[in-house]
Amino acid sequence: MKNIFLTDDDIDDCSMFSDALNEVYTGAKLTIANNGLKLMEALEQAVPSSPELIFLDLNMPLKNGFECLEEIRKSPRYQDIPIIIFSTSSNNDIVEKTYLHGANYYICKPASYSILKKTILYVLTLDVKQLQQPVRENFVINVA
Amino acid sequence: MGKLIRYRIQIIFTIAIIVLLSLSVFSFLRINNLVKASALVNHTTNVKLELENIFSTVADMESGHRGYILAKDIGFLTHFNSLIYNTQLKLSEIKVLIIDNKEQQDNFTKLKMLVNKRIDQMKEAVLQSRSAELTPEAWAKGKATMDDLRNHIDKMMAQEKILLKERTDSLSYETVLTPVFTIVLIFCSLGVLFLSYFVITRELKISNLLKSDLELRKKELLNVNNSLLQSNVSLKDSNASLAKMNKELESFTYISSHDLQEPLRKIQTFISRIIDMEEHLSENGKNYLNRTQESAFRMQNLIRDLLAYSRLKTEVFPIEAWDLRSLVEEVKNDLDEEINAKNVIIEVLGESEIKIIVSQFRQLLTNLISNSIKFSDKETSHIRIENKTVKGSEIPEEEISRDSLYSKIILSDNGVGFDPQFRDRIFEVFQRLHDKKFEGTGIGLAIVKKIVENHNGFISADGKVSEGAVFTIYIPR
Repeated sequence: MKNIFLTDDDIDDCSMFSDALNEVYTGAKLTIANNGLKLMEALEQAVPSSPELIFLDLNMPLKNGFECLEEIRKSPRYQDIPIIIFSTSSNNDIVEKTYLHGANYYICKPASYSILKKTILYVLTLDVKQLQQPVRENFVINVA
Repeated sequence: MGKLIRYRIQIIFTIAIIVLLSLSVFSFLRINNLVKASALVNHTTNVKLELENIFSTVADMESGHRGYILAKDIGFLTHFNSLIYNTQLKLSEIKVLIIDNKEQQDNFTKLKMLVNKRIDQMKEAVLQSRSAELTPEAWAKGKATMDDLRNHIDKMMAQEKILLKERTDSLSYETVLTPVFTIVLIFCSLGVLFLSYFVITRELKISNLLKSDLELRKKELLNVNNSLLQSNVSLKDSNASLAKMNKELESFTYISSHDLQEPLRKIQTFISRIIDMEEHLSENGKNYLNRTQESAFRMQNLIRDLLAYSRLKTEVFPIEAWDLRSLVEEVKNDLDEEINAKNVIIEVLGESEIKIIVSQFRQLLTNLISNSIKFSDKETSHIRIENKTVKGSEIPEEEISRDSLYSKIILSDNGVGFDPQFRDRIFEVFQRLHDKKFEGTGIGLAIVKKIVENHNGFISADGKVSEGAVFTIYIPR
């Protein structure tokens, strides 16, 4: 059972992600947090079984994705958890910033449901080694 | 400036004082001379007077001793004796008077001798007359001495007369000259006074002029300073507002990239789910959904291009020397699908090195090439890219440095082309020359133009309907 966290304030996106995940991958337990603060709380409660993957939206109320990313990368307890940025933005500056802050991959939320499914499936099939931060050119996942 | 004026005024006054002092000294000497000449004239007159006096005294004595001899009256004798003393007194007075005159001193010795000789004769005669009658010889002797004395006094008088003439002349000369000199002195003083007045007035005028000029300059400088300060302030203001506008643009960029795209993406995703999942849709329903999705896709492209266009203004990148051929290869790889679908041949001719902002120029090539592909209508589309170095003077643009070198990049195709009258409008945002048959956002060429401008270059377009388009780019070499 893969333990997966999704942090996104958009309920539609959360349900879409959940649907897509259920359609392509059965062996996963999804925990959803609607903002950064809730993510940090959920991480506290999940101890000692930390999630194997965190999908992180950037634009969120209370505590945004950048803050979460920085906090997790600074924390000795969580710093090794792979983080996949899951954002609407395809702005190069933002991609660059998350890369420098230590995110493992970047997904630009796809406009097509089928691509969303393919993307989730692709990420879930990556092994621990493949999940390590790649070179910059391969940082943004594009399965289309 | 004031120091120089003070110095000049000092010089003028010093000269004036020297002139006036020397004139005063001369004047004093002249007056002194006048006084002296007048004294000399008086002196000569006195000498003459005394000479006459002494003769008349001797003559008195003559008549006195004769009276005694004839009348034997003792009264005559008393008078005679007192006159002897008088004569001696007069002689000593004359001696003092003529002490300055050597010739008259000699004459005086003789005068004294003659006077004393005559007195002695008269004394002898008086003594003799007591005992005997005086001989005619004795009288004759006395007369001869008396004649000698008269002649001698006349001689002395003549000499004094000559002296008097000389001295009177000199006096009249001095009398004329001294007032003339005084008048000259007065006029000189007045002249110096006027000159000083004139010069000082002039200096003051000049200094005042300089002063007012200086004041004027000061004021002007102050004004310039003030206006500079003001323009500085307004510059700061416009800088601030520019910074504010930039901030707004950035937030607009963010809104475009995120907030606008999010709902659009959701629309697209939900439609894609419906199309995928709902099997019981009518053909019409499917058709509408497909067209909705296409519209949403176009809108997404529009947002993406607008974003790219607005970001071009704010970002600054370094210019690097780059290989044009390899850059075209990269673009060809990116546009692989379209190139294969439309049977496109792309060739690069001429020089390879260009100086560019790499990411932007890649975008430029992508836009132009995909533009050419989009508007191709022949069986085989031919895109030619040619690069050569030209001088600024060969470029038909006004704001160009004529001696600099430029890379001239010509991109030509054999597509549908365009009416040459639109050659300027083609670069404006949202200007579309073709109907919806050719998909596009109307921003691609605006981005191209912006990129060329970011390179400090120029771009022009030319075309002929159904024969193709030519884009000519000049960027500094």
